[in-house]
Amino acid sequence: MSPMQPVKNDELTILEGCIKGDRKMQELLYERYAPRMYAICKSYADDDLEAQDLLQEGFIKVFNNIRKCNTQGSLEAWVRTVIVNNNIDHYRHKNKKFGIRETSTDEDLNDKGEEVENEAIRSFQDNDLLRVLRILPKGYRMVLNLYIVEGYPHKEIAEMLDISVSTSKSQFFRAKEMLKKKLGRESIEEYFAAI
Amino acid sequence: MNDGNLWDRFLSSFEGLVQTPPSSVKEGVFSELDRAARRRRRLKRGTSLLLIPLLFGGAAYFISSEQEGGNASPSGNELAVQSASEGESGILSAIPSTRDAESGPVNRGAAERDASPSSPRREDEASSPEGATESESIVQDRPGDRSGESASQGEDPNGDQLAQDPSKGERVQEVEEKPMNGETGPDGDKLARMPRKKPKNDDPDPELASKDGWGLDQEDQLERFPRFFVGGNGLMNFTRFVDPQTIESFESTSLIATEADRALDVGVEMGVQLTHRSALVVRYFAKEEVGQDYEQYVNGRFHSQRLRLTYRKFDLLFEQDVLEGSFMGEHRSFLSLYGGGHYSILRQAERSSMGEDRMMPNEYEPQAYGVDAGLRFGVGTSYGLEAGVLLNASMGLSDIRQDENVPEHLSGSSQKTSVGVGLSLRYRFGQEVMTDAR
Repeated sequence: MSPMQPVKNDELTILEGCIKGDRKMQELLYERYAPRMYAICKSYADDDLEAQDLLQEGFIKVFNNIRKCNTQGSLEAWVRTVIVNNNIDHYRHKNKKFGIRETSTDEDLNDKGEEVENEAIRSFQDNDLLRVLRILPKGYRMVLNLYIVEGYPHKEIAEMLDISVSTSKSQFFRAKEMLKKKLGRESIEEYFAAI
Repeated sequence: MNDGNLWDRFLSSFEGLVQTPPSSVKEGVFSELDRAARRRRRLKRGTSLLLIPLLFGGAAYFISSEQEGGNASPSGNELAVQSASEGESGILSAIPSTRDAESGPVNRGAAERDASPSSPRREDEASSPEGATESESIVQDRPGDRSGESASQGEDPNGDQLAQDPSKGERVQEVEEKPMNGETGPDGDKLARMPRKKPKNDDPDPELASKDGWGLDQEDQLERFPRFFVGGNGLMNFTRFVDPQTIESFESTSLIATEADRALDVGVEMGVQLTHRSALVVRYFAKEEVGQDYEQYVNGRFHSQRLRLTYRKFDLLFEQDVLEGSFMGEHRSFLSLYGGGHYSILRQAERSSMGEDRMMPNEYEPQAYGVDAGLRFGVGTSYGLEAGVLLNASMGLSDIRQDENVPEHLSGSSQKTSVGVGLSLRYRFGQEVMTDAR
């Protein structure tokens, strides 16, 4: 995650315009940050439709709470925090609703994972990093994203996802092993070497 | 390559990743923002409308309280003080100083007799009933002092102008001499049985001071308010929608004709009487019907359709009496004005066209708000009942249409309006039988 920086002048202009409800500034903010945030939402979602829903909900929350943006930090960082928090809330809600198990195992791949895995391998060959993540079960993917990409410690991840710290650690470990096992260590190295 | 480097590279590649979202996401975001902005505007308008009658009511209550407080003082306190002070001067001029202890009761009594042209004491003593209280004797003995009725009728056998308003009663300063019960003076007159008391400016008769010009005890007044009432009313309304088609229909060259619809609305109400003349009322109509007939000339033919919306309606009104009188000489009558806001919840939206009825709740907003105003002519009867005739006008302020597919600047806004007459009946809790006053 990019280090925190004060809001730049142009960001300040956009921020002030969004607070006043200026539609042009709101569109500018969306155009500037939506592509990056969509990638983040895709890394959390099971499919593109869910990712689009997450992005839409996230930006609605961004505009509704724009007054709370702290100008001491980066505007992009604040938008990203809102988007990620929305993704976490969505996951928690879905977890409660559908009773997703706290710990995912390799057996989870047998339902849908196998199909995803095959697709991911094909996608991997197409150098699509996001689809690589989709071979992971939901819980693993959440922990991996929050730990590696967002940089949260396991203690905070446990509080966000309403799981124990040990569960967070074990899911992260299993996510790493699954990626390496399913895709092959050499494939990952080749992939990163090609980037 | 170890895991640390692996994940660092994973992270660095992920950080630069961008994906172009479809345009439908952007449209969804901004349409939701527009909806939220409209909801906020409606909420602001609705809140301010509800606050208006409360502010108006509070101000009127405050003003009425100030006026009634001011009216009460002169009729009670000031008159008692005035009459007491004037009585004091009259008494002092008629009666020499009684502070001279050497003169003794006999001389004092003689002085008092000399001061009065007649001997009212003798007459009063003869007439005073036995067992009379001290205060009654005082009132009777004092020259020119009569009971309330006689004095108010202008009777003053002594021609004494001392007592200005003896109906309020006067207390005479207690003299130093002690009452000489049964003791007679040199002339055989019985002396004053009871000590005289000097009226004190700062100590008016509490009984008198507490009553206001209406003869109502102030404590009673305070206890009377707030007073609650309940009731019901029925309104025969003529309703219309204020929309572009209706406005166009009033033009002479228009090919659109509209006609108001009629509806009977029955509701209940409850309220609180803040003062004699002001009240806060909440009305509820389980069924508020608003409708209109349209006729449009299209392709050489007239197409008629009827639109009817049914709401649940809540009114919050402030009522103020502007005129008062009496009805048949016995009952209080009044004319009051009321105003306030209303909030409506859509129950049903029906359109009848070409002989077909179609429900279309999704085309109309589930909530609406507006303002109400009117007149009420009422008569108070015994046992706390009050009957009245209403003239009511209601106008919606919010757009009742809900069609996201058509931009607002093309479809125009539509508000519901109605004008009606009706009857109301109220029962006031805690109302005394004898009085019709609020």
